[in-house]
Amino acid sequence: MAKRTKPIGNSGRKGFVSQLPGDTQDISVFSLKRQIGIITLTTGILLVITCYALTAGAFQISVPDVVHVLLDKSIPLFPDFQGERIQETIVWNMRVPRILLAIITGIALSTAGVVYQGCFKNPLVDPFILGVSSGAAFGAALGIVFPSFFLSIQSSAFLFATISVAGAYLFSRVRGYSAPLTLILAGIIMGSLFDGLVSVMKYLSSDTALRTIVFWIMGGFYYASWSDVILIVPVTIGSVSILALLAWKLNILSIGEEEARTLGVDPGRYMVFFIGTATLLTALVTASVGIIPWIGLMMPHAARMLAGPDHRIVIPLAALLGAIYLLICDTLARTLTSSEIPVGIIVSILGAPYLFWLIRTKGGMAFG
Amino acid sequence: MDKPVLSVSHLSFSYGNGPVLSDVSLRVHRREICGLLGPNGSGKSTLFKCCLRFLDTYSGEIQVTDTPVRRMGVRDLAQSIAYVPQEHKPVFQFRVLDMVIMGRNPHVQGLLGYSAEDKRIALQSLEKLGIRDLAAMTMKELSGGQKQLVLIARALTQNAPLMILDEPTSSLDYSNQIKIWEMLEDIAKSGQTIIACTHDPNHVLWFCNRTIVLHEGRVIAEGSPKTVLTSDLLSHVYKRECIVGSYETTSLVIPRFLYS
Repeated sequence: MAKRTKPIGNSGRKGFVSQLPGDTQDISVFSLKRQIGIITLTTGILLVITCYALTAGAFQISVPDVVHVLLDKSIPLFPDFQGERIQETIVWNMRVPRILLAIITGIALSTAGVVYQGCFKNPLVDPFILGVSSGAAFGAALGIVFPSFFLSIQSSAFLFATISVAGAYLFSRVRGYSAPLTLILAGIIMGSLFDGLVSVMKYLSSDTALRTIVFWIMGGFYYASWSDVILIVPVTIGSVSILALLAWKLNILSIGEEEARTLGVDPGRYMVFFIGTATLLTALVTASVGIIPWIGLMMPHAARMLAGPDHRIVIPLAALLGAIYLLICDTLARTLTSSEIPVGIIVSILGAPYLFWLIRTKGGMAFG
Repeated sequence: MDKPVLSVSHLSFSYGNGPVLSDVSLRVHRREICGLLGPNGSGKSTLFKCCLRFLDTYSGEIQVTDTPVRRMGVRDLAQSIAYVPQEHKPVFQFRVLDMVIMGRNPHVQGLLGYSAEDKRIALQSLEKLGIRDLAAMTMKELSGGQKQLVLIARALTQNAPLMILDEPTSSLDYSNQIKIWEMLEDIAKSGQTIIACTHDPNHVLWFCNRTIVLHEGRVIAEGSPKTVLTSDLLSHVYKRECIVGSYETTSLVIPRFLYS
């Protein structure tokens, strides 16, 4: 059957008058209202889950006690908490930093995923697939085994995460073009290389260092502390805010380097900024909590399904969804059984069916 | 005569194995719709790539409104030249309005994004091309012709003195080809300067007020299409005998075997 050609526009040539019944502004306002609604809803869900996570755990603490501890610690003149000292310690020194770290890790990895996908024009890449996480793992392992050679574990992780993503991109680039599948393969190769180097580090390290590396690679928030939170939260919030503010430039970059250039966006400069910031986010959280897979791939797709491809909404929405997802996974990890399950296991087990469902139901929309 | 909007002087370029463009000089003036003709490999796309500085290792000079493009930054260049690519296959399917408003990027001051005025200009461009009703649709939902119109609307939104189109109708059906060229004709009449390359000499005859013919990297003819596009020239360029005839008042090019 012959394919029916769509008409090229609704108005005739003469006069160029639109035959739109109504005004396009209405559609934009509706879209804005919908976006604000989605952000408000996901923020509300995150708050509810945070409240639950503060009370749940091996040591059950009531909501009023949690609220009292939080107010006591946050407001200087608030009356002191009169309950058991252990409750105060668990809430303030264990659960709050852990929950904040889970939230901020979800935000960082999801945002990094959105940025990598936008910059590489490839909805299949994430920090894990591009080998960034493995590079950061190797950098962190080096920092653990040879602490005197590196400023900190985070800086070493950032250095090797950058080497990994730059290597994947440069090796996949042939005649100025990086094909999507080649980029993924190059990322897998870089990841595999750094995984091998991590194994070498394990082989060479002392028992104590080996134990630290193994626990670290499994990914988790067991050792979350206020010192982690104080370092990671401001850097992540600052970086994600800047990325969200510049998301309109990422929209242009994501349609192709040549088109971006003709629209006044210098692709080289902005690629360095966006990829550098995403790599900083990935390295920072990976150096602190280990390798957490899938978040950077799943959350950008979930955000696009809910709100469309515009990065101005995808970045904040994916960040919120990542925070919710990782907080749920971490809460399950520490409450499902009497002993704690590494959060990476929960993320992977829940993530696989989600991705299958995504491909089966919304595959066309999510993967173009 | 007006100063040319686009002025190319003694442009030569090579990818490394033989010259692709040799001593090309041409001028395109305000309000002109200039059709760039030439067979595959004649250097049409390379010429555009040099103008847009995708290729930067050329010799000679390219000026837009008297300013050499070599001296322009990315933003200045985008304020001077709007480009409609031959192919547009974005991975992420933006809404039409979001795609068209990207044309305002070179004019945005600061880093906080588009203003209400930018949005108004984008909507105005859509209305000018009669596709305002597509504003809320995604690019994926559009036909090939509609997509091409959206890209032209984006170029209009860019408000640059020169618009370059690389084979704007190459993947469209016959009706949509004519509609796109009619739109371009109207845009040129409203003051815009256009240079577009095409493989169909009839489009140049019907819609352009000037033509430049490239052959083996050189300009071999330029001027009014009705004067320049002769049977001899087209037969020489396309290595196929062509007849330039007319039907009522319309000139047209047909290959010799059909005519006989």
